[in-house]
Amino acid sequence: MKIIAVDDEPLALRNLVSTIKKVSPKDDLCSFDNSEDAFEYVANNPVDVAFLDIEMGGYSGLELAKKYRELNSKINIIFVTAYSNYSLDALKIHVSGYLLKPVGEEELREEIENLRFPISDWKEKRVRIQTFGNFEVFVDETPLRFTRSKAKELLAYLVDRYGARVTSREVAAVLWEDQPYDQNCQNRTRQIVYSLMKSLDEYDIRSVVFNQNHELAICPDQVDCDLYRYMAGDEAISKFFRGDYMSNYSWAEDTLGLLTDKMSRNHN
Amino acid sequence: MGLEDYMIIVIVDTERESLKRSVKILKNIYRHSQIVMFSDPLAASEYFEYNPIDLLYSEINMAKLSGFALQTKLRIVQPSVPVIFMADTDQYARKAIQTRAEGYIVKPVTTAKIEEFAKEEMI
Repeated sequence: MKIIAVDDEPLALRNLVSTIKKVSPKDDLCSFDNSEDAFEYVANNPVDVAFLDIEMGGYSGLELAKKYRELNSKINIIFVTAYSNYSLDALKIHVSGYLLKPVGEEELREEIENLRFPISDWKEKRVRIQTFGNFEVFVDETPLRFTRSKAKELLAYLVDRYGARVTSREVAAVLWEDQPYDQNCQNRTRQIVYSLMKSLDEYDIRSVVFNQNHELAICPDQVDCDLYRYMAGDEAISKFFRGDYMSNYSWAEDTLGLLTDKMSRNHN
Repeated sequence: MGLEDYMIIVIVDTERESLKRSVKILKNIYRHSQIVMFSDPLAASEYFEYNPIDLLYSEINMAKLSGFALQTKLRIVQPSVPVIFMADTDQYARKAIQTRAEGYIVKPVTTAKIEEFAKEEMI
């Protein structure tokens, strides 16, 4: 996860940074000695956890926290301050934690392990799905190769259904629109499902699709998908939305409409 | 959930005078809701163990069961119900942050202070 630390006192910042590094050495950490740079950074980069001093020149920690909230409602704010008298204000903006200086390793660990908005390990997922623009699937950052283009469309449809189970009949209706659901159509559908599962097997990622009793579904928690991140409140991802959603498929228009509505509402 | 919705709101305070005052204010603000009042936190916990509620207002300093203990009990049976604490001072605010309280009112309870939460959209 992405962590930032902000304190305009160099010594305090150094202490905070070294404590964070001890507690979570694997996480990506950026530090700032002034609140303007720290604001700028969050406006342009996704951040999961922000450790903020409160009494600072420029924006105070409280002001900074409010601005962060506007940018990203799911950012975890943890105040690190010498004073306890801001705790009521902190509670009002639903911070994740409020630590008193000097911060000990144990209490910092506790905060990171009990975030108000837990970080789903998007980044540790092997499968990344892009729906804004054209539909694409990446496994370990390499584009997934489908042997049949309809298999790719099928996976796109499952992603669009957000984990809801889809029957073979529905799959056929989506892939071949108006054609009757006869034996021939059923066979073709079965072949596409088979081809999709085979491709997933080749990359050892079969677990992203549930396939049982002629029903299929994506397992949303197995993939890092821009649409799902947006739905989960990660507004930073909306920067990548340029008015297109799975633009290679006509059935995606319903979701595109919903997305466009939601985005424009959030931006006004 | 908003002001116009029908909600079941439980309020707990062992000080009867303060409880009565708060209930009066709540009734004025949450006009469409049902306010269930308790001066005994144990009775309150028994109530929400069997009845779904939408919001809990609770004093922190209570002899038989503190507000935090009451919150813990509520979390077990109805984990998503927001809790708003009331206390004479702000000394428990840090603890309330840790327990993920939705709000914290330093007494006296006033219309303005309640409205702050009531108008905020609660999830």
